[in-house]
Amino acid sequence: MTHTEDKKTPLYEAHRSLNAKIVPFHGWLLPIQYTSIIEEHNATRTKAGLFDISHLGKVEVTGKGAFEFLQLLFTNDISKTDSRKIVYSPLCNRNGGILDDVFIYNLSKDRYILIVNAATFEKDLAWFNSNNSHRVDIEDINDSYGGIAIQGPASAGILQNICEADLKELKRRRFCETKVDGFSCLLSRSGYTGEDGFELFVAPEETEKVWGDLINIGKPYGLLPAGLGARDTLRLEAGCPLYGIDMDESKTPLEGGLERTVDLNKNFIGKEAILNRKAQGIKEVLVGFKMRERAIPRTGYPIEKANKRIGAVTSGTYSPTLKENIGFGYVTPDNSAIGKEFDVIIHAERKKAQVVEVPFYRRKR
Amino acid sequence: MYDLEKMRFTKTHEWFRVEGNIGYVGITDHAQKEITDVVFVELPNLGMEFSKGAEAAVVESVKAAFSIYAPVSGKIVKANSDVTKDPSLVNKSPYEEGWFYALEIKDKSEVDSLMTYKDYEEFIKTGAH
Repeated sequence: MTHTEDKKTPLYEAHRSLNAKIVPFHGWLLPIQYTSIIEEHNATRTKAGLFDISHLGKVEVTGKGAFEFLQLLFTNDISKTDSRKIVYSPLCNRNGGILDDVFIYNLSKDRYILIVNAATFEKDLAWFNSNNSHRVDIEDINDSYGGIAIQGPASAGILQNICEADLKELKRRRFCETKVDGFSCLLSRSGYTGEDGFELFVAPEETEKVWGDLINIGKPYGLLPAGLGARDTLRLEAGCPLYGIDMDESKTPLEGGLERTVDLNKNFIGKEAILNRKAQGIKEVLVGFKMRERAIPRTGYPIEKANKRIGAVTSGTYSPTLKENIGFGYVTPDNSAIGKEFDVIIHAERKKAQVVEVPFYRRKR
Repeated sequence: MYDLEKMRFTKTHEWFRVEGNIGYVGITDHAQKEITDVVFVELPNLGMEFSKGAEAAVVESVKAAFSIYAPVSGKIVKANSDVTKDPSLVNKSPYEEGWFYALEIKDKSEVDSLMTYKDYEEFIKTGAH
């Protein structure tokens, strides 16, 4: 990877003035925490957390063949994007390997916005361009928006103060175009935390104002700004795999447990390879597990059964909500059923773990 | 009350407080901030012996695991069970309640080789980790 200057999001100065600990993250300078990962995590679960998501890659696809183009590139059915539903889909190469996982918004006929991972943005853009047989316009719109996520049970109450749309009307995984703080805004009821919440995209120069207002309005509700550290523990508890960690090009959606996002009734890049692999049977599968002995699993730690290696941990953490140690890892299919036990090798010691249902945490509705 | 001026420090961010022939070990305020919320501490058993620089304990934060090295050679004579019960003490009180273990100092000259607080502050400032 070439070393370039890390970019600042429109909220960089706001993070600095909040005394955030700032780290480079896939080419961006982002807060890892403001005060404490656990405090920020707990605020998001019980009240509200405010996140800078300006680093997420944004691509606009327009043109007559936009729908057909997206149907060909993505495994999920893009027609599900009608009625303003956000569709989550893996993006696969010809071997069925996962290039990225993407959120797709259909703004109007022949016009879509794709929210991709920061780490894979350049790779995705190159892939879109090299597979553009439908001659659509593919535009990098990263610099057109700043992004904020407000997550947690109090988020609707806080956001409603400055949002024109009636949030009661906005259902989970839907979006609308509205005004926030009087600014044009792309707003969705979505997130990466397992809580009710919203993600909003506004012009870069308006982002700091919206952020500041949400901080101030949110204060009496118990809202805290939350960094990448809390984002990671929240998404793990919520059972959301992270691209580049829990899945990559060496895995197809079958191994990653993403079969429900693969529509085998349509044609798409990678379909043949996925069908072949399905016929042959997969050799590993992503599972969620809990440690049954006190130890924290971390990325790369070996997983063994009866002294034989059966896989490895991809993500692991102490779960602030459950107060248990949890993780994701790939194991052989015969060891993947809920309740199965295996060992994780942690600091050269064998520690018992057990496959559990994912998500680890489910919010009360 | 602790006195930073009387304590010694390592390049791996442990502090060392000498009381007679015993030395207490913990991590610095700078280190606890870098590590983020500590959620798990694994301490050595009493009687275990370590040579200077050997891994004697493990601290885990939400983010990652960190090794705690023995600042000098010696035998473990105390372990702080409060910190294993409440690992957040490492963040809340790194120089007092958040200590990890105490060891019987084998060779006093090793203590002299450790950094003073002034040296350590300089060490942090120069951007070394």
